[in-house]
Amino acid sequence: MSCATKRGEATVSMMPSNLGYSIREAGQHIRRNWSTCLGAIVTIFLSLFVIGVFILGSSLVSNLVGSVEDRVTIQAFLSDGADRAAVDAYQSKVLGWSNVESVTYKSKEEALQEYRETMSNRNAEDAVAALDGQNPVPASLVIKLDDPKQVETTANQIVADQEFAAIADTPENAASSVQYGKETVDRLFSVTNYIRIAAAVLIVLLVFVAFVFINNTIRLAITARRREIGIMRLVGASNSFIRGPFVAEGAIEALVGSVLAIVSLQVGWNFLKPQLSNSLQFLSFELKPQVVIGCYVSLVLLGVVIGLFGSAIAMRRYLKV
Amino acid sequence: MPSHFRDTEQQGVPDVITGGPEPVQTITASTDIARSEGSAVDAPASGSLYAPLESKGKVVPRTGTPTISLRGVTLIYPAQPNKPALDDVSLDIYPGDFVFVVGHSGSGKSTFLRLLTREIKATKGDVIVAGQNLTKMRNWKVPYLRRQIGTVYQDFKLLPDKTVYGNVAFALECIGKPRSVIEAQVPEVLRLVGLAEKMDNFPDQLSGGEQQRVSVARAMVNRPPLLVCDEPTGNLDPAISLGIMKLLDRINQTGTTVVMATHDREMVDSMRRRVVALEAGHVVRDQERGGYGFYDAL
Repeated sequence: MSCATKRGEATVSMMPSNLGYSIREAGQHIRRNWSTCLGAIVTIFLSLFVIGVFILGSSLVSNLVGSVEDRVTIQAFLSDGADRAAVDAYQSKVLGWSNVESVTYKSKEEALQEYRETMSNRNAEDAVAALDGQNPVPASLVIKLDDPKQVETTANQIVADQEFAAIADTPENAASSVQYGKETVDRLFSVTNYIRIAAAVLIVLLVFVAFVFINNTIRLAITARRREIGIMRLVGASNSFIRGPFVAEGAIEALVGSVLAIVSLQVGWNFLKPQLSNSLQFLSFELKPQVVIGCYVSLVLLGVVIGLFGSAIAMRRYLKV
Repeated sequence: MPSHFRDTEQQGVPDVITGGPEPVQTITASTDIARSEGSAVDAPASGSLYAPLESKGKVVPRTGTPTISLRGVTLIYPAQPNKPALDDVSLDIYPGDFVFVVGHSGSGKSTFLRLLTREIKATKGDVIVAGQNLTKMRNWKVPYLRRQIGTVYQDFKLLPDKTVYGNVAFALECIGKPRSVIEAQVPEVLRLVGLAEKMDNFPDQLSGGEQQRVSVARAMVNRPPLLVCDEPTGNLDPAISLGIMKLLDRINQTGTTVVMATHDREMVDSMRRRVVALEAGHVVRDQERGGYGFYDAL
């Protein structure tokens, strides 16, 4: 029989039966060495769980930051004597700018009222009472932006505008009439950037750790079956046939580990979410369903990829002819 | 009683290895032979122990295509770059031959056998087995080569957690044979080696000789045209060794080429078959009807 026909025969007749054989063998091995396999499953489970916590956590943080970012506004204070028509004209002009989402006029009375409410804990009533009926708080235009990161550009644009200078609270120095919490905004953006980078780095590290662990576990399983592999090679089993059960074992362990990780993430989130929402009511703890599903799908994929590659790489040195 | 073995032989396994010029002898009533053979081995006092072997002194004509052909083969292990394990060895082994490879430890016997199964690659020269040049063979083809070579080792290499049947069946499972073939062939070959009754025993429930017969059965279950044995009787007592020897001899009678490395002087002397003696990596003697040492060459 020539080698070519033998090979053809083998590939045709072996592929389907090989898959079944691999899974059967892997199952048998998992039953027999359940403690080792449990170790691998727990390792994968914990790694994927922590990865999942980081993915969901960072998406939660960016949601929170997003809701804070939405509140980044520019306040342009107006002089008390500003012509109402000029203010209206200017309001619609600013609204026409590309980055501006909305422009709201806040009157002196509204501003004072807001001051009273937000400062209620700090003797605002006394302070207001001490004003003797005068209202020192200027009226303002509150400008919301499409992209909060562009806040500085837009603010500078307003400061440089002659039309604004005419109605500004302090016409001689327009810059001091425009406020947008420069430092706060800058800090917020740098913090969110750091959080995103740290989450990405940690996820990469955890993937690596999970990979090393499963690689090691599979290597243990292989070492335990060195003789068997030696005999398989002796009788002419092809490399893919020898690899099959181990790769299947890695994949099964990874699959079980990732399902466990998903279940505990879901259970943990269901338990934690009401408590968080109760204690921090001003923040929104909503995760988009597509984010959650995407996270779970990527955990399963990640687990299976880690399992497949971990075992395939661990097998490599035993398959050198 | 028709056997699988005879069936294949009658179809003439169209292969370079078995396609010898001489019509191969077939096993008749393999079951009965195996049974009597098995009892002879298990009870050394039964008298058949020193009976002459069937093929004593048989010479295979050196014609046709050799099963194994070594052409100027040199093998240098990286650990010993100045002392080649085999040095410019050229050798032809023809289909149906039974060759003893003798020599001291370290003379290159095992290296020679490992070249045949391509566990190692020759540093220089060509090793041609079954018409394929192993020196140039791609790694992925090696498993398909090994399916055509049965191997028997001193340490049996059985799997302790599989039964006798399981161990032999494993060899067929590994190369993707369907269940029906396995179920037909395994009991057949176990009858051949006289272990039909011990099919469901585990290796540690068997004696050394029985374990070695299981490993012979495993080597033969795929009916390879070439059988390579590395000191198969190395740790068996003389009586049991003779039983194994007779088994190998009978396998050789079916046309299988057998290459066997051994230290067993008595065995080599009693068989009077071809002897290749190695010494420090050189073939120092290649003799038909040879003996273990020079002094008893015919």
